[in-house]
Amino acid sequence: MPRASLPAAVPIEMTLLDVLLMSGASAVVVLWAAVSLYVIAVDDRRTRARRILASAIETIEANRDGYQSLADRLDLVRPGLARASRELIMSAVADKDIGGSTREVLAAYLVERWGVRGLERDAEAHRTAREKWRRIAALRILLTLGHPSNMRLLAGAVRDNDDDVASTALALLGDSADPEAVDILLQALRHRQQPASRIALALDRSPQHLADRLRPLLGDADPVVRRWAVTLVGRYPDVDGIEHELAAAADDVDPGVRKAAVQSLGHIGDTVAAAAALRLLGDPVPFVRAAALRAIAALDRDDFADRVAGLLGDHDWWVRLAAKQCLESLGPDIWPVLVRRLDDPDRFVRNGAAEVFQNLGVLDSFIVMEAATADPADRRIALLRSVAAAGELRLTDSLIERAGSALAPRIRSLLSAMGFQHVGAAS
Amino acid sequence: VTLVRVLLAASIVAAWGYLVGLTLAVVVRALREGGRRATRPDDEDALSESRFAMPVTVLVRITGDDRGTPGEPARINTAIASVLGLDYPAFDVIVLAEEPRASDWAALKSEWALEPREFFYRQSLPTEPVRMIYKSARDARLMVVDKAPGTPGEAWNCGVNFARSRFVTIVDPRIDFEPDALLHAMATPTRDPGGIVAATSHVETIPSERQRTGGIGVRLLATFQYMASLRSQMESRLLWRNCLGGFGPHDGVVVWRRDALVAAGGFSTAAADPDLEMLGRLQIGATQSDASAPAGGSRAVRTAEVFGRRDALSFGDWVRAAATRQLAALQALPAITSIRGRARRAVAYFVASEIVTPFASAWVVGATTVSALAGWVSWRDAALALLFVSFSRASLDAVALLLREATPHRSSRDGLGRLLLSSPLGIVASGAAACARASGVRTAVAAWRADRRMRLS
Repeated sequence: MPRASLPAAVPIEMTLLDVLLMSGASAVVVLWAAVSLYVIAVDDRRTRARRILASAIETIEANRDGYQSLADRLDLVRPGLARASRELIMSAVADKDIGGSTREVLAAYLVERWGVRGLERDAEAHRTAREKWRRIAALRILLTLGHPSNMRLLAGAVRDNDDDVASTALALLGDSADPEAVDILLQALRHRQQPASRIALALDRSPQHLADRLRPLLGDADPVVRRWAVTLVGRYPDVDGIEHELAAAADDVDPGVRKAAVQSLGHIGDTVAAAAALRLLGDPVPFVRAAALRAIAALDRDDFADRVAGLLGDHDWWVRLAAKQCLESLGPDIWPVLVRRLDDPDRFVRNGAAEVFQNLGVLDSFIVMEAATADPADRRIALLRSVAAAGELRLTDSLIERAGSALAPRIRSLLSAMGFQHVGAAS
Repeated sequence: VTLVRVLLAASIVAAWGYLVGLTLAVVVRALREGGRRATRPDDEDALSESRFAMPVTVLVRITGDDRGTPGEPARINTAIASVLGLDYPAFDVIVLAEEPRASDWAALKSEWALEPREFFYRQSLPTEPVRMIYKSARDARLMVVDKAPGTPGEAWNCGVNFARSRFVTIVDPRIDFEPDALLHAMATPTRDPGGIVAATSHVETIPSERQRTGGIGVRLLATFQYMASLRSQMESRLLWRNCLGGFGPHDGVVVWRRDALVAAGGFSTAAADPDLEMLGRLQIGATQSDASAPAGGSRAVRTAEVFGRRDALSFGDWVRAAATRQLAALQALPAITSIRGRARRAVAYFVASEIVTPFASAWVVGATTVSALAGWVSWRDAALALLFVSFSRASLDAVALLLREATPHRSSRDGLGRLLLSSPLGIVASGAAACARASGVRTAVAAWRADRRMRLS
């Protein structure tokens, strides 16, 4: 209806609505146009900046051989970079994808043109997203430059509440060859400045030999510190007496420390380690028992197979799984140990033993051998019957499917003869 | 009549005010964030090589509905190869095969040298029967479970039963991703594995080659889906980032902590969106135990990471997806609104983005049109309302593009101009989406009524 035909007394609320809609629509159209132009302008600026940088990098790399000194290479890029912003050069110097020598030239240009004081300021603290980006870049650059304050600044960044800043600092410290970097990381670990796992990740990357720095932490009052010290020290099998220290840690009151100790022993240990792992198979905490089983697998102690097989019936599912994995890794020679478990009154033990039998390849060898024989031996038939019974329906079905079309009918008839009626897997 | 007019006008003004406030707040915040190129923290490189990386089980579900391109090798093999090619130090893959096409099954078995192997697992969550378990002789990290068909939630529960890693994630075989996708998705849980129960990443919707060269309608629909995907990423970056709690984007990948899934009783088999329903349930569990405590003890995090990309949907699928989304949001609402503690902010964001904002937009246009039909306002006002809603949405699209252009896989310059110019037309798609959402609301209301009737009887 045209507006003119409305009643003479237009309600006040509709007039207000009219005004609001008119002003709102005009405002959002202007807003959209302005933001769109800004987006295009930013994109344009970004494209130009990329071009300037690409050209500078090309110049540096093309003249790498001819111009040996840094001053020479700086002379080459100075004219091209005259229009570059500080942030552009900062992003290039902080970019790990740009080659080391090129970064060196760009870092020198950055310091020459804007000075190092600004970088220090940037690396100190941040408030906005933009300042945070500058801080991260500045921390990387100052480390590249070997600036004397970089460790102090990185220590501050590790304590920061911002995840990105702290992660960057931890990673930079982890890669550093400066002994002070390790001090900062260990301090952060002791004072829980960041989650311990993140700090440990950085320490584990360190190019420095940390065994002597970590050993005192094995007796720290904080179990989290002890746990990570025990885990990290597992990198150093060459250190005298470390196996005994780890074996002592395997008796720690904290289950997390015991688990870490047995894991480390699995990596680096020998006889003492095996004894500790065997002891921990009886630990009251399931994840410690599971770790002990994995350590035995890593130590390749098939003489412990019987003890390991006993844990196939553990009340914790993860321990059972670890026992199966451990037995599989010990190899096919342990099959006689499994045979004894096939008639176990505990269904889980029977199931687990049959599964390990299957995965070791022993079952397939036996059944193929027996299926090929006109007169199968009673003892082997009895064994196969035990495995099939312990493994239940899907084990026999999968056995038949695995045998392939040529052998499947014979295996099916063999299993039928043994009393397994359902052998209906796809052949 | 006067009262109705007054109420209608007041409600339009209120919805208008809400939209103006929201648009300005988001635009200002996005401009402050700026189009600065996003850099990844250095610790992700460290994680890619670390022995301390948290193990992850990747679940992939294939059904007979998965559409491969005729004449191509089975698409599922390519998808599995991509998953196994992920650059992450500790992961395994479980494929849940629910009666796939015979040709896909055959290709899967031969490509990955699948051998049937019995595996005794703990049936922590109830599922449909498992028929056979296969392990790959080619890649020890791959296991295929042949199971009876069920709902997606039921299939995930089956995968959770088989998973042996601390974290579990579900990847749709139709998603294209870079090898470092899992590394980025795991970055947040790795920083606090004890505290985070779920972390969500985005899947970006992009126009496929066929859609790019299709008719104008197909092109525009694909573009609008892309823009919606960018807005969702912007929300994650601007709003959700600092939230103690989170609900995933419409199209995303979630990394779950396995023990939390089991403790929560597994995914719902009836929910329209099992992920959303589970996120709500996990966060209720986290906050009900101690409402005054910070939710940091077991929280879900919505990250702005992009896990991968997928093709835009056809019109029919897109409408169905919009209806399902609305239904899922309404289904999850009772659970989500019972969340207490500091995760309440996440609840407020969820209600605002999933329910209040779409409703306010539809109300401004719908109520003004009704007023115009009744002769209470002119048709010019109805047109202005439409213009207002479409350009406020387009302004958000523009700032979403600003933020997106600062990340990898940016659009070309030509593409940028075209996207900006076409964004005001997104109102057409919004109209269709509003109709689809209304159908989702109708389904939810019908379900509530049926539920109520059942309880009363």
